[in-house]
Amino acid sequence: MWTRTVNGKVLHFYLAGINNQNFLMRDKETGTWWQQITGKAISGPMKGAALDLVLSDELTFGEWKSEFSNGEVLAGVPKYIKEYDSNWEPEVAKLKSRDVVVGLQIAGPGRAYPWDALVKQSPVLDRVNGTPLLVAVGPDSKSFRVFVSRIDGKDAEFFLKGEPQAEAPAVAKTDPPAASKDDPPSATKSASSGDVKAKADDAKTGKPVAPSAAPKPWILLDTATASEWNFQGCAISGPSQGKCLDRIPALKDYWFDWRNYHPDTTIYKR
Amino acid sequence: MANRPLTWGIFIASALTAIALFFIPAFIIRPFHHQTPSALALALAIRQRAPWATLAAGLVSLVFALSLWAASTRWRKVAIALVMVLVAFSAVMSRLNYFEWMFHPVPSAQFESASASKLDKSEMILALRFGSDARAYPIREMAYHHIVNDVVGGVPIAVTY
Repeated sequence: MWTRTVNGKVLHFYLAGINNQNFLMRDKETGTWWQQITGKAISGPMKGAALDLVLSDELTFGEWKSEFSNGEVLAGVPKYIKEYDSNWEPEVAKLKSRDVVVGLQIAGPGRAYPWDALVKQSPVLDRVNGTPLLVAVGPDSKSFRVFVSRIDGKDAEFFLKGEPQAEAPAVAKTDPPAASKDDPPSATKSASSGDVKAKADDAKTGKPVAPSAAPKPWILLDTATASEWNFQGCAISGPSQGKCLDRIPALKDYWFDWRNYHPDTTIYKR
Repeated sequence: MANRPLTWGIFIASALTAIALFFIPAFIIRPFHHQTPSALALALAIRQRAPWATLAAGLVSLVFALSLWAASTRWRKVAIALVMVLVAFSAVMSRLNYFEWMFHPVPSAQFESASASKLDKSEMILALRFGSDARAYPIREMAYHHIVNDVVGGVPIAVTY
């Protein structure tokens, strides 16, 4: 919010252009162009001038009303009230246009996963228009893939194995969820015998997985069959060995761009 | 164009100038694309001058179009007419703020009391206060209109989103 008195002159602003996703205003009095985000005059007669920022808050209506019960609220313009978007604009307010999302679309409105959330939470389990999904950021924290999280037609859940070489496969098979939920990753380090066995399994299946010497090996476990899965979405050991999850096409994109082409998109949040 | 090459040259140059005066800035400041500072400066400088510049270039092209008209073959008349339609379009668009076609302005801000508002308590608002005057601008409305010119506590302000 800005004061609109500049050099003693009261200006009236209107929207008059766009610059890198931020809009430009012009004032009726001088025709100067102002950048909305900075309040600076970037072109025209008043170039170089700057608007003074006004202290403002971004609050819930409930909070504000409890503080200013006698306050006034901008009423909607009747002609446009129907066009105020109730579904995604409040969510838009939380994502910046240049935030990176992974977007996908399955049989209905699109879905966007903020990249930061994915990196922190991977693997993310989600359900989009009825399809259970597994969104995984890979061992390098940069690659990503989206799979249908179904094994043999049954919904499945996946979680990241704390350390792939941490447990002997037998232990993982009997009780993977408990091992994951109860033990912090750092506490699951174990003998190198499991490491050797895991390597043997890898060699047997011929699937390319991260070598055990890599700093961050990356294996998913599923709760239904307790099999181990690699980043290609294929089970490399356990009852599901040799099976692969179906892939879903997904796009890493800027939020503004994804939203532009998928205006009804929903946003994953947890 | 074999005849009167100078007349044709001036007609084409003035018409292209008039057309470019609208289309160059419109192309540069199109939404969802990156603008470099120099391209933006060029676009805004052109846009600033376009209202009178398109008129001047348009009048020149009109004069030369008329002088070429009678002696022109039929397809050249069609070409001249089409060019002049573009020139007129450019001159009109240089005077219109087409950004407000997409983002409708608030003609005059109307307010309701906090107690009368039907906003849900979880709705986000922009809030400010001058003295005893407190005002709230629902983000849902601001995300549509983007600018509201207001006066709060006697201070003229621009609420932007």
